[in-house]
Amino acid sequence: VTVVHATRLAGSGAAVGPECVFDAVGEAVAALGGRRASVVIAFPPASLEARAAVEQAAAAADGAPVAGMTSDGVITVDGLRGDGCSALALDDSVEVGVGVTARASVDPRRAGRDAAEAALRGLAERSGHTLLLLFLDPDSGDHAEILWGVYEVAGGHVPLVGGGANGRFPAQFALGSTGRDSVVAVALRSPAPIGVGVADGCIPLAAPSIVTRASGMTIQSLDGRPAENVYLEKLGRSRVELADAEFEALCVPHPLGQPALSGHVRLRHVRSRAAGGGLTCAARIPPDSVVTFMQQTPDTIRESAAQAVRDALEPLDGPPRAALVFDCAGRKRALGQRVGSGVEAVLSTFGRAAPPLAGLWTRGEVGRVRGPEGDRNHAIVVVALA
Amino acid sequence: MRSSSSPLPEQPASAPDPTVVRRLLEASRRAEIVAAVNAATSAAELGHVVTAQLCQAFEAELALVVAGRPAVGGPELVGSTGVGAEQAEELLGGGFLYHALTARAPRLHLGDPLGLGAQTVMVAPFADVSGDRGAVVVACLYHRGFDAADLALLEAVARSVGHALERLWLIEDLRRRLAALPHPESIV
Repeated sequence: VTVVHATRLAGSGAAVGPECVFDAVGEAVAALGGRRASVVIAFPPASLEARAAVEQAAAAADGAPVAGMTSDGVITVDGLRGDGCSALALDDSVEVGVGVTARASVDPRRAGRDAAEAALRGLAERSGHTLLLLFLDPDSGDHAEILWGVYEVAGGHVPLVGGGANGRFPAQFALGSTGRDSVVAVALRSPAPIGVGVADGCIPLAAPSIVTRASGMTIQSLDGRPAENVYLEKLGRSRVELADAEFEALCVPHPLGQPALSGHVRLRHVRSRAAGGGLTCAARIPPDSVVTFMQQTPDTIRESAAQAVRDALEPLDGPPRAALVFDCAGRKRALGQRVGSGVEAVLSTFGRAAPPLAGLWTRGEVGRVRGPEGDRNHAIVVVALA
Repeated sequence: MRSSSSPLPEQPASAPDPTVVRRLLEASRRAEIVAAVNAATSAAELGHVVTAQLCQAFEAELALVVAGRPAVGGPELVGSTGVGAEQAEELLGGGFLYHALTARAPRLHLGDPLGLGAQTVMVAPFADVSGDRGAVVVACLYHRGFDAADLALLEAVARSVGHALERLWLIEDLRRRLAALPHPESIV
């Protein structure tokens, strides 16, 4: 099954089955109606062997560079696909540069810096609206360090979007090669505005706490007491006996928040219990930080999906001609059987005719519009190109 | 399998007063940044760490620590975040840093005095007993309404940066003099 959508700027395709990458990429390129593709962004299923996915993409891309990362369910212009590939081809009105670095976990800041530098170097010296897409490995460690490296090169004028690959064996790929623990950066420069919306569906639940002891991505104590006890008390679950799996399920709709002076809150996913009563998080939270206890519900998740689209559309001077969606895998899990309603919230907010679009659920999101930091959890990031 | 239990209330506490949270955040951020300032072992490290933390704290894209030492000459960029090498050169050749260094009190500027596309800029000066002056600058590329509490936080950070720089420059100077001696190891 393939689905094709096209505008003057972009074409998208989506497919399922063993040849889904070839089909989705091929249809996205064909939808450009003979115009040359400057790049194809693709999200093949992690169930497909990564090398095979890259070969299928290259065979169908008509010579255009292909970059992307593995998915576990994709977002298409016609709704969600459980185990397929979505792809977006941009025509040659968009300039593209691609940078790839390996072994990100060894020196994450340098990996981010080098990948971003290579991608931005690929753009000609002319004016336009620049965006940097980043495809990361969720197991490379703290994405914040990678993004600080990216920020050193890209600065505050270039929005950053993307996320961590999904699936059991998450992989990133670009320029015909694939691998894990890499940083793939794709710089886009368009003559027309590019909008980015970043939103989450979390609201604060209880009085904040101070991180009194932490090491790496583990919080050992909050307010001087074992972090797990404080977390459960704040959620009103301290009397409940919880097995490890139940505890992890409780964490899905209840991330920690790192509030900023501006009032914005950066969310931090709690992965599991840690030895000694600690909490293992998906990102580093340093000692002395203030953390809040958050909650999201299906309603707030859907509303935030719509908000991200509205924010992405706001700076555009006309209808969107292409879109990318990076939605948190934790939000997908929190929606459970109603995950389709989250996708529907995205599509319906675009209006009657959603633009060519590709998206996926990510393990860690990248969304930087303001400030220096772009590593996010439990967020949805929407990009709209005019 | 592990489990959790304790005899505390089962209703989650209600969301706190935003003003209280804001004051808590200010205190926490101040402690965090001043601790990083005190832990720096060189002026370059201090400049790098403190500007990164200020950008985080204020959700700002740019931050600078600039100093004017009579013994060194014109303004020098101790450290920056969000400023490229070419932009730094232009800044050092421009007039804004001279204004920043001669400021007597923290100031808020609307517009782009830095020439980097900023919309809101905060400057907090510092001075040490030997007459060296400096300033900490935070700038946003979007319109952000900084308030008195923001300025007070930046002023506190600037003061601690001034003290730390004085100490670090003394140490760096001492190291240079030691290294210039014919047999520095014999001093120890």
